[in-house]
Amino acid sequence: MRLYSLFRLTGLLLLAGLASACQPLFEPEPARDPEAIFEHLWHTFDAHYAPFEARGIDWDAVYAVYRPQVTPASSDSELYRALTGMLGVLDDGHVNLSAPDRPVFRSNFWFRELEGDSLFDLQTVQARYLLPGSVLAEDRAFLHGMLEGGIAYVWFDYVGENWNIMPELLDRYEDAKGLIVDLRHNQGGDFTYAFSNMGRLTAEDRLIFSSRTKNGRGPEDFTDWYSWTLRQSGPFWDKPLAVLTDRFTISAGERAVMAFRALPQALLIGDTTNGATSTMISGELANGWHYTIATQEVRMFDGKSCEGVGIAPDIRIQNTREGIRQGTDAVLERAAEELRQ
Amino acid sequence: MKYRWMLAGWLALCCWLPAAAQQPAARHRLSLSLGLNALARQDLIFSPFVHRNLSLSGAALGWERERNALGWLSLRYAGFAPQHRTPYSYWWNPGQQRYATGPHSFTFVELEGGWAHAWTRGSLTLRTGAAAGQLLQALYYANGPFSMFGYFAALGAGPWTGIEWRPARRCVLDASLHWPLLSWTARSPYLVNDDAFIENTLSHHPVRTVLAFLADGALEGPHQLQLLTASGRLRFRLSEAWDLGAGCRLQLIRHAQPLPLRSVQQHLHLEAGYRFGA
Repeated sequence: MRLYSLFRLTGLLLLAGLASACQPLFEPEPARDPEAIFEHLWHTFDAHYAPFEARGIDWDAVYAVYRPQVTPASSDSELYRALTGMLGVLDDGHVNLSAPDRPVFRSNFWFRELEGDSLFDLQTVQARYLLPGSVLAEDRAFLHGMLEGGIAYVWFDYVGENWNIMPELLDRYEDAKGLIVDLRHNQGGDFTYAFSNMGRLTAEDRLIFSSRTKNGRGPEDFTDWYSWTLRQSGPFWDKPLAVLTDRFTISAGERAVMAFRALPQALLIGDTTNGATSTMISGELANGWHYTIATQEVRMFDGKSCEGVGIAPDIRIQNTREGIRQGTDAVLERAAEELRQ
Repeated sequence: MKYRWMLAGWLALCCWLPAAAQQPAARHRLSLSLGLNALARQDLIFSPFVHRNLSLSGAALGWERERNALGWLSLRYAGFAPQHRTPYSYWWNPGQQRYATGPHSFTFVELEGGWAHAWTRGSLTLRTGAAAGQLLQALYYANGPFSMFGYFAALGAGPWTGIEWRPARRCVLDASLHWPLLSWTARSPYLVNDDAFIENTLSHHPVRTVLAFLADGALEGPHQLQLLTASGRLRFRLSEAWDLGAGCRLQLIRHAQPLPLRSVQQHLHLEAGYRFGA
């Protein structure tokens, strides 16, 4: 009898499992024709792109312009032209489209046209300005050294584990008159590495920025605002700081700039940052192409958004092509001058 | 801190269940199985597409302790590299190096412990008991030049039932079914990379990060998570100590929040076992 009961229990469990599996297992996948691909990408951005308002974009109007360009007979090239045209309107450093045998499409003007890309040259910095003994990481993740006049210098290629060297540098250049943190052409990455290694540069905990992420398809579907704070840790490195920025300082690089912006001893010098302060995620389209999308709204410690605008420097100065050709870096020279005063 | 205790408690449960089967003069069996894995997985957090892959990188280690009751502990690994469409080449700027797109990379690890009592009639044995399992899935989505990381974890416990038939002296055919009724489930957030996710990575330490992800989970019942595991094996005794067999395993996962996840994983394997003890 007990054996019969156990068989019956097993049967009930199997039935419950089958009932659960009665619905179709997978959701329908997006179709592969050009119109469906356009619709899928437009609707994905409509639902999940966060900074429409900050960038002043009327996404429905963008649809009205680009949707008619795609028909069931559109070729790959025609579809690509329509999709890149649509994404180009966003002018967002976090929006990209990748397709076979083409360069990655960058929605952002600066990264697409590379306007001003050549106005920063790391070789010039190291060869002309850094005293012997400078260190360039093997993977080119950072460069540090001393300038004449007792000014320490560090450049970071991106924000990641390379920032773990910061505490060591603050010890190493303890006697410097000041520190130049060069974030020009900083590619971004994981800003938490910057925050966790900047604890000695602040005398107290400071709110840096707040952010919230889309968590639904509706225009107001966001998580709560989340505050990111720079925590004080270790003995305060009480020296003036100059932070160098340009139009190619992006994403986590800009969040690091926000942290320096909150420090009273820091001066921002150079050009405005890119203005892409969200995080981004990536996705795939039915034809195998890939895209990225920005999913956060960000407000700096003063409550203002710099999305699409960038973080303006305290002292605006740009290198010139002629200057770079002659091996000079006017931005760096100005920063050193400011710190020597 | 509490989630460390939670995880430690869960590990203890996984290990205690098989130990509960400990009896005098029990027989032990260690096994290793290797084989072919097939996956069809659709996780709308990351992609609307069903990712399919056949993989040979699957293995399981098992320990069983048997007399009247059966206790077991198993550790499984499976790796998958699905690609939605054919790879292609791209470059960032004119004149720069070309790159090729690669597949996604999914790594699944599963630890399961269980205990079951046996009722035998002739050559037929029915076993019922309970099993506790920890399923961890690390998901790396390589979307062309871009990538993102995600996870799915389910620490569940529920009934386990199995049936064993010995058609001949050296031959054993068994099948089992496990369905967690309660699970601590943790998944990537709605858009993968939100502030809570970033906060969980603040330690920059892999183990602490995984524990922080787990801590963000929730206790769920069968109406929220359906995780069904069915398996079958045919084993032949080669000697008193050694046996060789083949088996299959099917795992179905359905989860709804924050977005639907559907997964079907099949495992066809060869298994070698070594028996010792009384």
